Amino acid sequence: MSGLFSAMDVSASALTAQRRRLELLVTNLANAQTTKTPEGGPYRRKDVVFESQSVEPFWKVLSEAEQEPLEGVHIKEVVTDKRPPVLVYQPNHPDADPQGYVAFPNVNPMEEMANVMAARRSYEANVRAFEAIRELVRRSLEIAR
Amino acid sequence: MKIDDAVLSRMSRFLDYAARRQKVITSNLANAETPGYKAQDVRFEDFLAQAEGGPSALRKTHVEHLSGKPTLIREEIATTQARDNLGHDGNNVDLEKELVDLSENVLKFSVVGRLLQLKLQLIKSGIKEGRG
Repeated sequence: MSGLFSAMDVSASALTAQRRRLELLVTNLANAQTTKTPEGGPYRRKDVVFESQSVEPFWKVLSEAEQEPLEGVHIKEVVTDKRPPVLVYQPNHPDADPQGYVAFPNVNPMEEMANVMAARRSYEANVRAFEAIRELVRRSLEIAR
Repeated sequence: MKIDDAVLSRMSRFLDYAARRQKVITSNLANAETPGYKAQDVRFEDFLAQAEGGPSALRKTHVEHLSGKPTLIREEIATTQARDNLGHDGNNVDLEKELVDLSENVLKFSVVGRLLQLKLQLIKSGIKEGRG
């Protein structure tokens, strides 16, 4: 039963990872029209790469028994989308090139919204997993009464 | 009435198993979008055989088999779910299946936990000769 506490860490790792992903997706949406960035040029959309990561068993310090490590998740890296910016003819725009074209970010709001929904669904699934573990621990305590 | 009977130990084994399975499902859910992650599961029969030292406990049929720990069935799922693998990132976690397994596991744990509790109460009542 003790391993259930490390399973909570697994859920927590997934919640953190999904929340960070959501933050990035929101940043993408907010900057869908940004033509100026500190690095120069238009904003480029960012995305995450997940990687599984083993979580230390909670009772490792107390128990000699060997426990299998559990697989949590973390964000391995944040990648910048390589798709080229979209060129729009707007000669009056301050960032227009000599031909009158403005480079807008490669952000597609529809795509971002779809990703937002996926991240949300994953987040909710992990909240449910967490609640389930809590329920198991609660039930275990009841048996002893 | 024997206090240390088979049913009692079976029930506690089942609770151990449900806790183990809970961890496996949690890992699957956490890695539902991790590229290359393969879903895993654990079966009660295997768990029981390992725990009670049954005939199949230490039988190794493959060099990569581990002994002493319940076997995780990963390859098997990988083959049975291969056709349903919608992603192109090598991940075969089925979110709905995992959520259903999750609810099912909690329910089973609750039922068996409650039965175990009742059985223990019965034993307690026997010790007290029905008083209190």
